[in-house]
Parts: sequence; structure tokens; C-alpha cells
Amino acid sequence: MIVGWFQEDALHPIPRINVALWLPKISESWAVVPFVLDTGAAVTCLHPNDALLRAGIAPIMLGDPLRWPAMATYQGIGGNVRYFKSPVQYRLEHNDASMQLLDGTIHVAPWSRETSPLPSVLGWDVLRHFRVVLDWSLGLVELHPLPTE
Amino acid sequence: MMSAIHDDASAPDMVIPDTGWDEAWRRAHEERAFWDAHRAEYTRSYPEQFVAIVDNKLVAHDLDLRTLLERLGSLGIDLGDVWVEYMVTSERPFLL
Repeated sequence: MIVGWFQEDALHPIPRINVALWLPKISESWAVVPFVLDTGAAVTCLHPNDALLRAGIAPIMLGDPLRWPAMATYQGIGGNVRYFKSPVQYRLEHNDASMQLLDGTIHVAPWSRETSPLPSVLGWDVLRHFRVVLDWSLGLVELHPLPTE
Repeated sequence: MMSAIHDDASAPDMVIPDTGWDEAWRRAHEERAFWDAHRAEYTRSYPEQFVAIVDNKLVAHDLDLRTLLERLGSLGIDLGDVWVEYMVTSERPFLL
């Protein structure tokens, strides 16, 4: 089981979970990002604050599509945003200290005034590997392994 | 114990170093504890701003992340040493 927490913000609690990232050809060290669990997000997205300061992505990369192997456009509440796509390895720590690795693709937001304040979100490409438990009354934020995995 | 799931067949073979993991995780725990203790205070003082912390001390704040990072650069601060968070308020909550 992977254990997260509710961040108590000004208006509502935000479910977060720490996940370590490695982006090949970009990362120089492991980066742990406090993702928001977003059951409305199709994919996992890294936003500028985390990209620059936690993942160590150079600022110039967040403004230059030519530095990325691919891009994709997603619709959100605030409109359409084009994201840079990168291979990624996620490393999640279970409460028994075991590690779970997931290979996938992460979507990195270009640097803009609109995307800068946004937290990074853990979407269904990762969440579908777990039974997700969110219980504000008990303070539970948990990802449980599926029996088949 | 380590288990692996290869979720993306298009992902190239990746050589992942096993070093640095413990240090990254230790810093993440420290950072979470810091923000848990101080988020409310900084949200009151610097609403809807980015707040930069080095060694548990406030070193800069700004409405704009780019401006904040430029200021940190001018102060000679390595971005790898700084914790930055945006102070969300009830006036402009996130709608993801």
C-alpha cells in the first residue's frame, strides 16, 4: 500500500502522494514530486514549478517544442493546453518499504503564467494500476495494489 | 522487494540509476513537514504568490514564477536547493 495525505488548503483538502520520477536523457537525479491524485485526469502531468525545481528540467526546455520527442493537446477546465511528452519511470514506495516501478509517459506543461501555479497531477495512466482510497473523514489517501499486479 | 510494470510499450530501454533515491526521499519528507507547518502562515502573508525557501528560511516571493527564479539566480541560489510553492487562497482555488 502506498500512503499519501490530505493537504489542507484554504478551501478544500487536496489528496497528495509522493512519487519519484526519472526522465531519461533529462534527469540528473531522482526527483520526488508531491502529485495531486486527480481521478478526472486521463494522464499524468508535470507542471512548471515541479518540472523546474523538483525534476530539474532546464527552463529553456519548457519553452521549446523541438527539444521534446512528441507533444499532445489535452482539454481541461481552463481550456486546451499542449504538453510535451517524455518517457518516464515512476518509483512508488509502499508502506512496507518495497518499491514499485512503473514505466510510462509523462506530460510536461510548457512554461506559462497560467500553468505555473498548478500542481502536478497523477492521472489514470498511473491510478489504474491501483485501488484508490480517498476518505476525508478518516484522513486516508491510499493506493492499494491490484490482485493481478 | 521491487516490482516493475512496463506500462508503455513505446518507452525506450531506460538505464535508471539506483543512486540518489534515499536523498531525494529524505528531502521530500523534510519539505512536506516544512509546508505542513508553515503553509497557513505564508498563505496569509503572501496570498497567490510563489514563496521560495532555503534552509527553512524565506528567501524570496513573487506573483510570477519566472521573476522569482530570476531573483533566485541573482542571489546565487542553486535551484536544486530551494523549495518553492504557490500559496493558494480561497479567493482563487484550483479547479482541475
